[in-house]
Amino acid sequence: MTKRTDKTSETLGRRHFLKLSAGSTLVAAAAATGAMTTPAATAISGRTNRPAALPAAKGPRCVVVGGGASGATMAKYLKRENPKFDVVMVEPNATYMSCFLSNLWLDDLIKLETLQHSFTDAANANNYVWLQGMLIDLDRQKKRAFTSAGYIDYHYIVLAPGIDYNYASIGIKDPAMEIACAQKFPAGFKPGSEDLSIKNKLANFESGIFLTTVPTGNYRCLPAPYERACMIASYFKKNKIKGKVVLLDPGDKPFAPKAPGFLAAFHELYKDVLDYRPSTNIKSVDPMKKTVTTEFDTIKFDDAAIYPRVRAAKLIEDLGLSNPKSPQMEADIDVYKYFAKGDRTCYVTGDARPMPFSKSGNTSNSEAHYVAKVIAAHEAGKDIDWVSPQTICYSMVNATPEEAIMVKAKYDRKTFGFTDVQLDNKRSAALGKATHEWGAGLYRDMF
Amino acid sequence: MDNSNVNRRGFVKACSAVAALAAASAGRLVQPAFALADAPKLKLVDKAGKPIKASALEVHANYLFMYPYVSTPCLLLRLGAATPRNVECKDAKKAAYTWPGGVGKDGAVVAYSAICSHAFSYDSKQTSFLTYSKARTQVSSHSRAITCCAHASIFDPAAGAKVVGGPATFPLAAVQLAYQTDSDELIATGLVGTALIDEFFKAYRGELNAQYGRGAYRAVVEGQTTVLPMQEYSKNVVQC
Repeated sequence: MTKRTDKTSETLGRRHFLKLSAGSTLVAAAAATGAMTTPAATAISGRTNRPAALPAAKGPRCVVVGGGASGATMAKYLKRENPKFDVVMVEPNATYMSCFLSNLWLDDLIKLETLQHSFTDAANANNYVWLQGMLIDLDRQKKRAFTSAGYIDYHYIVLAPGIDYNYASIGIKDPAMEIACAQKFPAGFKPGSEDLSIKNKLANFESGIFLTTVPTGNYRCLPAPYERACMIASYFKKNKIKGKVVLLDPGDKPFAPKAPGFLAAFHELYKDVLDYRPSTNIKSVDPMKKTVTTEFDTIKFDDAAIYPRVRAAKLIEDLGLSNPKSPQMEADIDVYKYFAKGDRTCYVTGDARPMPFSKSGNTSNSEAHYVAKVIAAHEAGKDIDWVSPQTICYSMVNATPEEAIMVKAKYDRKTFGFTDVQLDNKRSAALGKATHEWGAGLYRDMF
Repeated sequence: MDNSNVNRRGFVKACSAVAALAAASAGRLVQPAFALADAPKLKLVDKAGKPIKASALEVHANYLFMYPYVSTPCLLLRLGAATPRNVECKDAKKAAYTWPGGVGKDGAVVAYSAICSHAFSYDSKQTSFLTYSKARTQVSSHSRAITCCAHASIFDPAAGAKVVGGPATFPLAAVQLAYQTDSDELIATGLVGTALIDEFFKAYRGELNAQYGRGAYRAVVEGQTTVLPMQEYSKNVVQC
């Protein structure tokens, strides 16, 4: 393995660094081990090549990368499944902000505080350590995780880094244009600044077209773009804004199980405010001219929240853990036990998983319960049966009064398609109340 | 160990009236890992303070009472038929315990903590999320079940509130009821199953402090406890 001591490597990004060092280290590692079961480490030097300031591990150390619905649940339940585990959650954000329920906030049905949670309190309440930092690299042979706050030697590592956007999917290939689109018209599915930006847009919107889009592929929270269109349309109605919400959808109808509920809301509540355009594929976006070109025409908009196709977080690819055949660059893991192929110490969960489950908070939360058990069982030299994640999903379609629709489902053991689907597409105040409690319950379970 | 001994003694004392007879005839009776220590014995009364008559409870209706704390609600149900007796349940840690079965002349009166064992959604005075429905509902594919509408966990009230669907993994805690045959009256004598009240208090401390006054939510109900029809107890009853 090469050792880097030059100063310049400190400032290099992860990807560049990998590219620079991969050639030599991969070959070296392959030669050393004879067989390549785990990718070799990149050499790390400088500030990150020091141990993270953590107490000595009191038991098998489990590092959880990411503090979202998957990671936060995982950190809590790893510790519960095996109290001897010494759990460290690595998450760079200072505050948790929720993606689920955030559409309700756009229309002022909840306060921002409802979406925000303290990692400090979560770690304290559930007996793990929160290390505010970002995973930079992973040496799976040495079982060492390099973070911006130093390295951590682990027994198990769970990667739950979520998603990144794929702007090429909507015809944006130039990095300058990608940044322009991401900053001017953020998608709002990686919570935090993007969501705050959309909220500000609504507060400042006076008239014209507010464009929203549905991505192709398996994107984060399948019903969310339709719910969001309802919430923005409702906001326009309430605030008497002379504008229209245009929702572009590559599909021929809204997210299948809930299509009747959404279409009823579009038609009965938002006929004059919401322009729903199904079977519309985006060919290109010009964030400077504020235009979107579809197969049919070019639409000029006044403001927008543009949601491109998603992919597994780039981290997964950078660590050599993505399946090159996966169109969304998702992780190459055992689809029942979640471990990276050939490595029972490294797991990938949440929206970076390759299984076609709904990329939703509830799915990730229920999945993390199961994977925590998988890891605890493995540590105990046991094995457990596969348990389907559960997708329970409410969509608020009306704000005055608050009314929602819902779907719940599990997944088939072989095909991973929906099974045990229960639906309520008749919007109701009861489901509206349940929507709030659904989110509150998830927060209670995660934190 | 001390605690569990106390708990066990408390439990044995609490439900001896109900369970002792059954124990003689049934095979195996498993005591729960958790049973409320020093459980208060509270007569179930109506708003006017008159004892509830078990056979006057409306069949399949939802009733609420507070037990053992002023802030911890329990569901009281009179099911359509006698429940099985001595149902073996498993708590959060998979430890077995026996739920003795329904009481009353018809053996159909049951009571459970109205705090969901999944994520602690509960029946508050503002909104009730856990309700029993005789009919099959849209979300729950089960009839005669208690459904928590927050995440669609479904429990069987005729079988110790065992989980029959949804994300919950263990039963609601069961209220031990003693039935006085001569007077047709009901006494809540204990709570068994999985201890959730501490976690419930932790999760809702702010809300409960605001509602009951600082720390007052932890007061144990004294003397008797009032049974209310759910519609009177809660402003919003969410069924799904």
